[in-house]
Amino acid sequence: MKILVCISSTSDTTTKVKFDSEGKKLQEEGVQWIINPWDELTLTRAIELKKKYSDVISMVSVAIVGEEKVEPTLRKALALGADEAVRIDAMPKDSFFVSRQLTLIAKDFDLILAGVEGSDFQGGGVGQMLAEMIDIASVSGVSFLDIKQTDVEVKREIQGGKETLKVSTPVVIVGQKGIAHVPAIASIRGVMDARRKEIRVVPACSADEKIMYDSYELPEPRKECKMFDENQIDDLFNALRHEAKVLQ
Amino acid sequence: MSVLVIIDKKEKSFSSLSLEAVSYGAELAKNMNQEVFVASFGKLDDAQCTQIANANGANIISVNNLEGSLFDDALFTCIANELVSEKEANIIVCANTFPLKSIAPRLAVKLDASFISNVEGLNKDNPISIFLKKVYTGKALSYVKALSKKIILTVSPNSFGVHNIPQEYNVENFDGTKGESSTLELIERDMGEDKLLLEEANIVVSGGRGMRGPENWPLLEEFASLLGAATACSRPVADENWRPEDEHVGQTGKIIAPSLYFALGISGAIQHMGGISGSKCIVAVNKDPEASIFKFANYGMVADLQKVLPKFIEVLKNK
Repeated sequence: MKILVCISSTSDTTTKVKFDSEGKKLQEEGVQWIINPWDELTLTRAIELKKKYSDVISMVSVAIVGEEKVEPTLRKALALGADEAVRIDAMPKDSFFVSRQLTLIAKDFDLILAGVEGSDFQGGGVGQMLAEMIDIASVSGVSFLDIKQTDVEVKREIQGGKETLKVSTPVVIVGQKGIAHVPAIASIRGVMDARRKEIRVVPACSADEKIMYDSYELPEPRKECKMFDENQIDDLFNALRHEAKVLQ
Repeated sequence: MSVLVIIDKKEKSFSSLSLEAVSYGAELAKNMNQEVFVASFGKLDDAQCTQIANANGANIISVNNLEGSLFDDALFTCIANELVSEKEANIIVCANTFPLKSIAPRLAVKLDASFISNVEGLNKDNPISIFLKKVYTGKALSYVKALSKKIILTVSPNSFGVHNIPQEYNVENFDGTKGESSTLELIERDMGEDKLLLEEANIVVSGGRGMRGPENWPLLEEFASLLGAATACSRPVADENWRPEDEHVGQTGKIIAPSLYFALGISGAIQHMGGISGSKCIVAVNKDPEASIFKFANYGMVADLQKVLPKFIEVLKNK
């Protein structure tokens, strides 16, 4: 079984978000780039599965749509234990565009993992779009993933509960919270191995984008916190009722 | 041309997220002078139809042949596509619930449509092609343009609300392509306790490490219960198994936007704030006056939770 983990490179979430004067572009100075946190969780699970079922899983590949500047993020993924990395050479535009690019390599894989959304543009949908484009099944909201012989077992969220499903491959699994618990940490050995592993660069295909992030703005800053001391509990609840009006 | 809203049932009734999609779709349709249709997978009874109609969705389509079917992303997308053709829909609003919202991106591929997830309410200036959404883990907003004529949306929970416009309804029965999933097999379904869904709750009471241990949660639960609130927690609490994982609210947990959020013993790390920045009002209680949470909260109290939680409960009981 070959596993493909689709990842994106996003700005570290502790980065202070600033835009240019027209609100058209993120100011990238000083930004640290990381593996998108959702993708890091799915990658962690893929590597755990490979260790657990080394006789069934032959390879964990990581793919990204991006320009050369995303290669450090790919190296991080390799350092975590991925066997190979593929970069489809294009600036990632929207989910539709990214999914179309991923079709260039996805057909070789039995199990394709994607995170819920990128923490930057929060577009979502890449996993499901990719599945639709290559005409395979997808399962979303997956909080647990395991392999049972050549089948995949998942738990997914439904309204008010959870379903445990057996899924046949090929399939795209869109993972969420729970698919792995603690993100993997690269060992020194992993980092060194990563330097030797190959990053395969694939030319992009022509593809449309369907949405455009036209401009940005920062939300209004919250007013300063109104403090109450522990003897003013009644006052606090009165404020919630009559001032903020969020309580009956 | 029309607006099609797609929702599904949560056991007997509809979640506020489904009803919000109905109200939103209806408003969009009104702005464009078009009709709105609400399609639900599975047989509907009178009470359920009334719920939909009251949320402003009078034209109801009941996809009967899917009653009891296992949700399969691909199969249900095919049926959604049939509904889109039937009603000549150019705007589709999918309820922002699992697993239904997974139809939206697949349908976007089938229709060559623009999919915009989690739109923040309706854009009054340009309601039909530019939508506002949160980006950068909720730290900023973006005006997103749909480039295709067909648009598929999900609405950011609680960003629009559920209308209450009681009216007569009409129901049409629709039989989509028959079929059972060929790739999924159900092993078990666990409906859990009848807990209030976190994403739907108007008031949420959340506990962090400052609660000191799982044994202190009954007080928090009592407080939540008196408020009619859902309970949540920070990541360390879920990681330590003090609370179930599905209560974890934060960047890699659930992202919620209740009217009122109590952060009890939560320090206010950026990753946690990413999950709750959409809350209308945040109340923080923490022993540490330097806790970051006080930079984000609307109201705060520096106090020992073990001392004040019982007093909060008393205040609510005496009301």
